[in-house]
Amino acid sequence: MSTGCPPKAFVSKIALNPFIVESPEKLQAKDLKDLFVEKYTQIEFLKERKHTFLWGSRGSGKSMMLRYLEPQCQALVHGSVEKFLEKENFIAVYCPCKEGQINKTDLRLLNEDATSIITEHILISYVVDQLIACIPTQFPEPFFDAETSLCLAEGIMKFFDRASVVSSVEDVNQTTDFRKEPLVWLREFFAADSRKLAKFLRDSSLSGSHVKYEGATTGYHDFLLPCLKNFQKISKLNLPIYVMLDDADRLSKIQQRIINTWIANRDQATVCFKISAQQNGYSTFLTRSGGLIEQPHDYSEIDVDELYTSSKSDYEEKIRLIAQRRLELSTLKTKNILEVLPENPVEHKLYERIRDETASEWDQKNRPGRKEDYITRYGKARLFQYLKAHKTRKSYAGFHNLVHLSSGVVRDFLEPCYIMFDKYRTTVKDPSSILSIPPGFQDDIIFKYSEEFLLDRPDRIKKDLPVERWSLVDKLATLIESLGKLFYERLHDPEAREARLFSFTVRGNTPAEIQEVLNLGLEYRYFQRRTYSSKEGGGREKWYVLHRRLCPVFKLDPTGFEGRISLTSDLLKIACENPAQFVRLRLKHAEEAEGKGLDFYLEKGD
Amino acid sequence: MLKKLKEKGLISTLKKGIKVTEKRLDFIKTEGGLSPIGKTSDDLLFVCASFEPRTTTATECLGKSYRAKNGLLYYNNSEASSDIVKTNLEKLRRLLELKCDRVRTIEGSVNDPVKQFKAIKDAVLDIRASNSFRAITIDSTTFNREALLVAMALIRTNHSSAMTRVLYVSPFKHGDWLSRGFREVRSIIGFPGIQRADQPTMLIVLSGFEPDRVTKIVEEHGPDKVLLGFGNPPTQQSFLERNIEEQRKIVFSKQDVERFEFPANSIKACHDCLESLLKDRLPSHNVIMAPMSTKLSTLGAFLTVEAHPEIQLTYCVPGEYNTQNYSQGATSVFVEMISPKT
Repeated sequence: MSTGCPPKAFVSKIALNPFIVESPEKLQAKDLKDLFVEKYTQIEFLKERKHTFLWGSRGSGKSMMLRYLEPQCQALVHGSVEKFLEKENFIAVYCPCKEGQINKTDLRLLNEDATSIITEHILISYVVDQLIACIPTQFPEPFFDAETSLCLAEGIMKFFDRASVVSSVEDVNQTTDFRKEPLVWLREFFAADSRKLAKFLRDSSLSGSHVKYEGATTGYHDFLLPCLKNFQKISKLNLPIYVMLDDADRLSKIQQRIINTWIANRDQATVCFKISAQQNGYSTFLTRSGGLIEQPHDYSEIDVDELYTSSKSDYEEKIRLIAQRRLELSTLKTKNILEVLPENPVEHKLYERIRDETASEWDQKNRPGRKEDYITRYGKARLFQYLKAHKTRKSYAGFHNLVHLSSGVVRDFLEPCYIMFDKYRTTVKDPSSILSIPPGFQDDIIFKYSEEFLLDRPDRIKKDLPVERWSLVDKLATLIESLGKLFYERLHDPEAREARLFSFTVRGNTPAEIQEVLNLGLEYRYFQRRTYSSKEGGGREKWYVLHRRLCPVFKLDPTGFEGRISLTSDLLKIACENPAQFVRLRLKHAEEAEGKGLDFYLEKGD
Repeated sequence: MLKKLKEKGLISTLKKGIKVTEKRLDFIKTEGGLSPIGKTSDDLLFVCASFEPRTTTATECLGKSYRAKNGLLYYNNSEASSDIVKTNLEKLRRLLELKCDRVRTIEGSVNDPVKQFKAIKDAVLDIRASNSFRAITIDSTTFNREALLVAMALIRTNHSSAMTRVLYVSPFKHGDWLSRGFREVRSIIGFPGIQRADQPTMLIVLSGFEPDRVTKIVEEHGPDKVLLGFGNPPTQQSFLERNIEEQRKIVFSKQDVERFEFPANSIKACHDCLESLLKDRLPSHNVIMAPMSTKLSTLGAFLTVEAHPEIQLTYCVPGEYNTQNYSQGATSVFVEMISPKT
């Protein structure tokens, strides 16, 4: 067998490239502490004694937030485990939900009641097993002494129905001494119980005769809650356990309903559930009995993706702090991200000049509105129009631009930076001498990164979907092209009243097929959805903002798109089929509307 | 029959199985074809009808003297509307009716694991009622891997003293692409495995010509370590280059990957290879295995998991198969015996 290179420690990887992205699950506590920036993450809100859903796209930093709360990492943050436990009011247990681990296909063969009972037992065993596993890995050795460990193990075992665990206990006793190594014994017991369950699932699937499950079953009230209370008492910590279920969108619907049922109990003094998921993958808020868990009574929620849309400056600051941390861990001499990623100086000068000209224009036009608003609205548009007229490529280089292009997802900032740094390293003799990545080099990578999103990504999405949904991907790609072309026309039209557009709303009811296209766009992050108060009153309406990564390929401005256009479902349908026709019709409508003095392009949303 | 072929130098002996080489297929047919495993009829002949031309080859190689008490003919209902499948299904049904005392057709669904499993289970249990089986011949060639694994598990659980003869037909060539798109990654029923919270997850992939499916399965499981294997030796030498080329396309930036080779042309040799691969790793890892290469290596994985039920078997359901050009022709038949479970 050929053996590949052994995996490098993260610290040596980041030394070479400060923008490397590693799965949080693989990071050591020290790496997590070094990399994680608390500011602007709502981590304090996550720490609160509440059941919490943590929503966010893949790569938005959910797992990082959860793992940051683990005791070992928190001990490093606070200086020692004692200080951590003194300052914070929780013990967090990280429970990743991996494909096939909890969600086994065999369960689909059981009847509803059996599935529910067995599934709850699997989930509870998993949580308690993770809690036991975290004692030796997350706490320093003397923290749980032999006597405490023995009490803990006894405390857990007493909640099992004895008859149901006899054979597992006997199995484990043959290899491990309960009194000498109580926690090891407990781990082996859970493994034995898991074997018994797996054998039941296998036998009941494959055997022709009826198979009776003779292993343990555990429930929330008769096992999980008393076990955790016991843990609080024996460990003398008296702190609630935060059960952090990561990627809960991978769980089956029945498993999600079981978790919702636990949440509905509101036992936050003992246990809080911190559940991370992609929002569209968490398919139900129903409990097992059909009740509904609701915000804010039962749980609170954090949307990790929201920061950018709610405060661009906070998001930029967050990215700056993250980049700063990474630069400090790298061998790069420069520790200032603004120096590492400089913007194009020629274009910067040009923009300064255009701003001055736009300011003069404001004076000449009798000072409509506020001066700064006028410059913001028209200055950038004039820059794009100038570059087009002079056949000059728009530069998207520079830290600020890259922050905007990432559209609120940290990984979307790090990834292009990783690629440009990696490639640039190969062009210089001594990589450690790199002080910055030239704007032209940045631009080449940024453009390819944008182009890949528009042209290659749809083919990759198709690989994720059954063939009958491929036409939706084609429609989505066409819709993106239509919108990109329309926004380009507006931005490069010197007469356009509102040029810097990048978002749209849908007027009237959206047909099911179009809604499917929009949902697909949300799922694969071509759009972000926000809401705004409808002018007619009575609620909020949906507002779709394109991912800014598309800007370079369409030559659009990534720095702010408060304006939005309104589209009818008929026009949206055309946009999904024929970009040229869509752009023609939409521009014609705009001219007519503007000619009549109508407010065709809507202004800022809230 | 095999003795005769061997005397004439028309077969080669692999590590454990037998490969009846290309051009000799006609010879097999004209010289009497394959006989039952023992002196009397086989208890069961299990075949699958699909869109591939080679789907009927092994059954056509059965000799005039071949008889089975029961014939099971499996097909996937999502392909049933295809004219090629209809034709192959009908052809196989006629062939089975000539060879078997009773023939039952089983409709499964690759898109519905419960339906697929229940259909095969009902049929296997139904025929069990008649007797305990001693001799079973299964043509593994065109079953989807999940259905094949489920069928083998059901047969060996419910007919544990039966000798199983596995037939596999290697095609002349494969299409440019075999499958595309994605529906679901799921554990295979009957192989749930055991996962311990204190152990890292290792995914062992026996890869073939479908790099996208491999990528998807790795993405979905997010293992701590990947053992990525490609078939060498392949079922025929000309496939080796493509095996290597397809594996090169599989790149994981965030995974710790080790590459290895496994015999794709023999059940037992592949089983031995996997056993040695697992020897030092199984005690310290939660192992998930994804057989995605030939059916012979898939059954090698089956024997490994049968011996180590703590391993989970996983399956990636593709969006669609290349029904028009999945494979062309048939060059050789592999024949391999699997000893009774008890």
